[in-house]
Amino acid sequence: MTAKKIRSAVTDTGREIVADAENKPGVTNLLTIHSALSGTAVADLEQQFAGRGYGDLKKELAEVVTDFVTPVRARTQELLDDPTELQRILAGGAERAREVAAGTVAAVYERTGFLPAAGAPR
Amino acid sequence: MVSPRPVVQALPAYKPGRNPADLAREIGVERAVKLASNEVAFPPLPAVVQAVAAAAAETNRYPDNGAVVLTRALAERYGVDPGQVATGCGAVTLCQELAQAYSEPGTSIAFAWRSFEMYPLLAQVAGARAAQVPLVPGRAGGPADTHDLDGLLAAIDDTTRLVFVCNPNNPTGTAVRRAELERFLDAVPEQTLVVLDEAYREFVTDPDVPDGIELMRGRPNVAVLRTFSKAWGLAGLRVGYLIAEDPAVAEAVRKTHVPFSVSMLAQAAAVAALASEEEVRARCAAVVTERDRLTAALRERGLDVADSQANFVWLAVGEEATGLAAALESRAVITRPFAGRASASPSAAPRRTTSSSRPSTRSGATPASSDVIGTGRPERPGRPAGLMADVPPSSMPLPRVLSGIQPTAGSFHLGNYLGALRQWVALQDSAEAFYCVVDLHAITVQQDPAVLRRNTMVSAAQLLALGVDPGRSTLFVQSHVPEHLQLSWVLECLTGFGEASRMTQFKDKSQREGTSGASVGLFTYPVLQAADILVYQADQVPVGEDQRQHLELTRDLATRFNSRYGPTLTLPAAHIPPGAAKILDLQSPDKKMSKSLPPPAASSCSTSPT
Repeated sequence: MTAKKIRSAVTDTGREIVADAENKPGVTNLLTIHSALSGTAVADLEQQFAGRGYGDLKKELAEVVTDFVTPVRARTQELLDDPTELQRILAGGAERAREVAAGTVAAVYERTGFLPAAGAPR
Repeated sequence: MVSPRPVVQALPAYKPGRNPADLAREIGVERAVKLASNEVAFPPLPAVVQAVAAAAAETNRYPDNGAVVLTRALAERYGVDPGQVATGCGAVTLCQELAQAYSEPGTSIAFAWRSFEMYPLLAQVAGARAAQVPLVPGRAGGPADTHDLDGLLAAIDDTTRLVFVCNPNNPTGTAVRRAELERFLDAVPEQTLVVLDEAYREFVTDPDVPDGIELMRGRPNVAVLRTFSKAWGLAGLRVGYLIAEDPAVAEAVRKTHVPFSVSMLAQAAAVAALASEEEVRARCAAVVTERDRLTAALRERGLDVADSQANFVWLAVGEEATGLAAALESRAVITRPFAGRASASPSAAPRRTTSSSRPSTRSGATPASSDVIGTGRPERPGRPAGLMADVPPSSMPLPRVLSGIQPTAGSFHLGNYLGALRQWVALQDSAEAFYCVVDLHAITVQQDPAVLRRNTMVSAAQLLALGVDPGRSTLFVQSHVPEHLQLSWVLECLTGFGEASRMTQFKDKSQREGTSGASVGLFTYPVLQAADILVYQADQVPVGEDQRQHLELTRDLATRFNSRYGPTLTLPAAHIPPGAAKILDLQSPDKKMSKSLPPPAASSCSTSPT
């Protein structure tokens, strides 16, 4: 989602900026996204945008989205620029995951009746 | 106007404990931790869940009023005759039934104070005098706030029908030892029934703290109370039991029993729990380890903590208890403060005591304050106030959560973040989270190998950038853990062909394009998804509406495996995140925002629960 997509978002008929999932799904959606990213309650946003138009809401939301997305993109790129480190993190995760998963599979195999491989660690 | 009895009017109104969900909402956090009710934080035993589910099918009938199966199982477990056993809706109901059976106006009930909060109320309702004996106050480096058995003995007179000895004591967690308890039991007159209330017996580790059932043998005026609510994990089902040396005691309790008050589900659960004792012991051992670690950590911080033999600890913080509890609540931790003066003399007991002493005041027998019976020794500063906290689940196994996301899209949509991924980040603090990039699921549709590799890296990088922290959760790539596939095969052999055919994604695609167009992988991937979850013994899975069918299959397969081979796999529950934002498509706000536009042919059909 980009600022451009926010600006071209479909809104609803009417002018009022209020959350009303039934009749104003477009504006409600924009308010929900704003609230989730900015942490401002929807009711407070309604108050803040009272008497203002959809354009104002979209413009501000585009900024909120940009503020959120920009550092995430930068950090993603930073991680991708160092694939060795990223793979090291994933290897660590897999190691921990296998500790748990191997225990379950061992119990399941034992209960199912599979013969333990001779000399295999139990 | 109709008035209740004066003693009932004088009862304090019931104050419910703080609800963790309310507190979490109030202070704006994902989850508050409730440490105020001495519950165990483990989910119910798998065998219990199964037994309850099976029993639920018969709930149009009354339960067995005599709880015959449970009574027999308890008698066998403890080596007593079934006639010596009585069951009740929690041990507290048995306390009440004992008071009904043995007390009346003119008699007294003796117990330590502070102890289980219900004792004074029982006495009050029965119209009996409450003879309360202050705990021996703690001293630095020694046992804190323990029973004063000599004082209790001195409080018994020929009107005393019942003596409660809560061991380990609620709320201090302290316990009396064998020699002093034996001496006490030998000295109690035979017309007084001693009730050893051992709700926390399973957490006792000091071999010198006696097993009440052993002490009971050969002593006809001794009975023991135990419960399934704590160690056995049935707090929500309420089953307690009494074992008495003299079958007449159990008989008297059974006579005052409210018919059918131990529900069918509770009876079935208790029987199943008893059969899982090994697992219960392991859980208790985990609690004990954490109890000792917590005690040491609190002491290192200079706090005065009593040696606990239960699953909670008592902080003797005196009058600071209420303030401390409020401060902890502001940090999303609910504990139970007991108000009172820090260095109260026995006669200046906390408020609660006053209410229970009213009956005797009214009868003019003694002034209220002297109901707290001294022992003839010089009055010492008591320390009745403090704060009780369970061994916190934060240091015990947190609920385990598993969630996965497809690497098919080059980048996650903001909708993904606002929907599922934000919950992933939040859950890291309240759950033991396992998050995976499900590349095995991605190949249910054809993938370009280089693109798949690249997308897997991008997905992982984005999760990290969004706040998934490898220090607080486990992030991995599904194909790096071959156990998913090992379990999947076993589960496939338990899945019916028709059952798999009914899964929506396969059904839709095969109806649209015929079965020849669909791969076997598309047919069986819901089973792999079940394996993804079950291989981690996940307690919870964050799911959207469209994935409920998959979670149901997962639970069915786990149940099937467990009933065929014995309890092995944990049944996961749906985790419905509080206040998850529902984000719609910007261009057509009547649709849910899709992850990528346009979506690859089958990306939505092989999404692991996210």
